[in-house]
Amino acid sequence: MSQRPFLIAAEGVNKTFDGFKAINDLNFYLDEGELRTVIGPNGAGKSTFLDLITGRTKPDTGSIMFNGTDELTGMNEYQIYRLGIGRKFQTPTVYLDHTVYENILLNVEGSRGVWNSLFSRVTKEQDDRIHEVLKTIGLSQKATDKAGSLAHGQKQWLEIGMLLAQNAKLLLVDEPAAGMTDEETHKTGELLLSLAGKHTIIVIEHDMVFVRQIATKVTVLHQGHILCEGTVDEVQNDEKVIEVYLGRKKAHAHDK
Amino acid sequence: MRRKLTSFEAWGVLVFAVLAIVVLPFLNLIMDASYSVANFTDAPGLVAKLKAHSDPLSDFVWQQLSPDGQKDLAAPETTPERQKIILNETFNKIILTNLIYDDARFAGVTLSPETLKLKSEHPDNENLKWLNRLLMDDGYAQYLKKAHYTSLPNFLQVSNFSINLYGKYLCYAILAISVDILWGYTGLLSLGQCLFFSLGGYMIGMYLMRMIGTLGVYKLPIPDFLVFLGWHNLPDFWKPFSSFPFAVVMVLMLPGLLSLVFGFLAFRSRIRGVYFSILTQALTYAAMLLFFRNNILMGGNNGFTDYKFMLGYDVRLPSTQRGLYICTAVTLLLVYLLCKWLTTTKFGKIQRAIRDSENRLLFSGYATANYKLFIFVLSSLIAAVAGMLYTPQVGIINPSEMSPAKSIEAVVWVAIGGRGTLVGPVIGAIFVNALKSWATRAYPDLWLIILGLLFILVVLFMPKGLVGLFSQVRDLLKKKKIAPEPSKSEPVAIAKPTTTTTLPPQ
Repeated sequence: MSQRPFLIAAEGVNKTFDGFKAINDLNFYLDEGELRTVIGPNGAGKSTFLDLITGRTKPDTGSIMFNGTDELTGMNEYQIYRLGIGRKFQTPTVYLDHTVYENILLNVEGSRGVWNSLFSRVTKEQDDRIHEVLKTIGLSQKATDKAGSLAHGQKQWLEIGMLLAQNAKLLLVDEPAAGMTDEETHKTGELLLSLAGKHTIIVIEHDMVFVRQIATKVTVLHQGHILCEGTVDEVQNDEKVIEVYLGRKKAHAHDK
Repeated sequence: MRRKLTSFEAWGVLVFAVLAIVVLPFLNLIMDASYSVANFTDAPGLVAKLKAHSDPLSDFVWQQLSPDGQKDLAAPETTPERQKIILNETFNKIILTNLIYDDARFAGVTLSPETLKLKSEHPDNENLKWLNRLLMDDGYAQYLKKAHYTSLPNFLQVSNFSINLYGKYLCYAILAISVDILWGYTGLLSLGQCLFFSLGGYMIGMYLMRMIGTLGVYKLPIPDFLVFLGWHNLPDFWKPFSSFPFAVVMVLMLPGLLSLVFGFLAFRSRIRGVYFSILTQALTYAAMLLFFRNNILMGGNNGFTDYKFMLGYDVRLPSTQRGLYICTAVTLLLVYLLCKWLTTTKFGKIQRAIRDSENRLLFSGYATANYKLFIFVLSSLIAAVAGMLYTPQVGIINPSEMSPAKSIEAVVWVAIGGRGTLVGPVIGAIFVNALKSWATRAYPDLWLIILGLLFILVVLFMPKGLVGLFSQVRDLLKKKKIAPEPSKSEPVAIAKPTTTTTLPPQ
C-alpha cells in the first residue's frame, strides 16, 4: 500500500531578511484533513511561513511541495491560489467599499480571466453557493451592507467566508481571533472546527484559550525553527517550550 | 436609498447633458443661416452671371472674391464641384459681415415677403446673418436652393466661438474620464495621460496635413514644414496618411500599442503607487522631447497646424466645427455609457478591489496585472479618441500638449469634479476649463494661483469633489436633524442607527 503524500511537505526551508534569519532550516509536514495550530512568540516566523507557502515571499533555499506534485516555491500568488490554497491575513483584509455579497462573489469558484469578468453573469449555482457561505459565517442578514460597516469580528468571518467560497483545499488562517471578544472568539473556534475534515487548515494563533478549544495538534515555532509538535498538553508541558515561550520568568527564577 | 439617489442624479445629469450638448447645437446647426455646398444648384450659371457683373449686386459679390478666387472661377477648366466650394466660401463670408442691403445694390432685385418682413424688424447678430442670406437668395433665386428663415429664441442661440470652445471642453471631459477610470476606479494615478491624447491628435493631424494638398504656403503637394526642412518628396511613413480610415486606425493603434508595451512591463514588474505615476510622467516627458526634434519629421516645435479639409469638409467653416462638436458630444456620451457599463460588470468590481486591496485579490487567484493592463490600454484608447477630436477643433497639435503639466492638469479636473464617479470628471473638466477661459482673460497672472487654491480647497473640504457636494450637504442637514435627539433619549441608543446608516470616512 503506497502512502498518500503529505498535503504540505516543507523541507530545509531558509529565509533571511537583511541578515535576520526569519526561517531557519524548517521541516514541516501536514496531512490532508488535519487542523493544525501553529504557535510561537513574536518574530518566530509564523506569518513568514505562511508568506512562503502562498508565494508572497520566496525562500532562499529549500522546497515546499503541495500534494506531492506541485513545487510552490516557483509559483506566484495567484497560481498557488488556483491550486486550492486560500489565505486569511492577520489583519482582516476585505474589500471595504464592496458589499458583503460582492466580497464573497469575487472569491467564489469560477474563472479568474479578464474576458470572463466582462461578459459573465452570476450563475444560479454561484448565487446559491454565496448564500450558503453567508449562512455558514452568519452574515446572511448583512449581504447588501458594505463590508466597511461590519464590526471587526464580522470582517474576520467574512474573510474566512471568502476562503470557503473558493472551496480551497488548504486554508491558512492567520490569527483569526485577534481583536475579538471572548464570545466571538468561541464562535470562530466552532466555525473552524466545523470546517475541519472537509478542509485542511493551518491556524496561527496567540490566544491559548482559543488554541485549546480548536487544537488537535500544535506546532511550536521558535526563531524560524520547529521547536516541538504534539497535543496542547504535551506542548505546554514540554521543557523547551516552557523555557523559550511560556515560562521565561521560570527560567529567570532558576537563575536566581 | 443611497444607491437609488445617486443613480437618479447620474441619469438626471445625463439627460441634461444630452439636451444641452447634442440637441441644442444640432438645432443651432440646422437653423444656421450658413450656405452649404449643396445649396448651389446651378453653379456654372451663377458663375457666368457673376463674371458678367452686369448688375450692381454681382459687381459687389465679385469684389468680395480674392484675386485667386476670381482667377479660379473664371478659368474654363474649373469643375462645377470646385466652383461650388469657392462660391460656398465666398457667400458665407459675405453674409457674415455687415448688412449687405443698400437701395442701389438691390435696385433690380425683387425681395420676397419673408425678406421684407425680417428687414423691417431691424435684426441683429444671428438674425442679421439670416437677413443677408435671404437677400442673397432673392438676388440669385434661379441659381440657388432658397433657405427659409427659422430662428431659435435668443437665449438658445450659441455663437460659433462658443461652440468651438465647448467642443474643446468636451474633448477634455473625455480625457478626464480616461484619467478617472484609471485613478478613481483602479487606483492607478497616471501622470502621462496626455501622451496618448497627443498621439491621437498627431495621428489625425498627419491626415489633416495631407488634406491641405497644394494650398499650403509653398503651394507644394507636401506639408510646408517638410519643404522648410528641404524635402522634395513625401517620406514613406507619411504616405498612407492620405487615407482617413488609415489615420483613424493609427489613432487607436499607436497609443494602444505603446500603452500595451509600457503597461505590460510596468505591471509585470509590480510597479505601483507613486513609482507608476513617476514612470508615466517620465514617459510623456521623453515623448515630448522626441517630438520637439525636427528630424523625426513630425513638425518639430510647431507641430501641425493650418488645416483646411477633413473628409471633404472645410474645417475652417462654422458648420464643420459644429459637426465636429456634435461628434465630440456623441463620443463623450458613448464613452460615458461604456464606462458606466464597465462599472456594473464583475470587471468593475475587480477594478475597485484592485484600488482598495490589491493583495487580497492576488491571494484570491486574480492575475491583477492583466486587469490593470486591460484598463490602462482602454483608457489610453479613450484618451487618444479625445485627442483625435480635439485637434481639428483647436486647429493645432504640438509637443507642448505632451508636457507633464498638461497631464497633471487633467488629474486636477478629476479631483475637483469628483474621482471615482463618471459624472465627476466631466463636470470637473468643463468647470475648470470654463473657469480658465474666464480667468485667463480677467486675471491672466492669477490663473495658476486660482487653480492651486481651488485644488487645495477641494482636497481639504470636498473629498468627493463637486459631485459629492450634494450628498455632503444632505448628510450635513441630516446630522443637524438628528443632533437634538440625544438630549431626549440615551446617547447609546442613538449611536447605533447612525453608525449603520452613515459610512465611516474612507
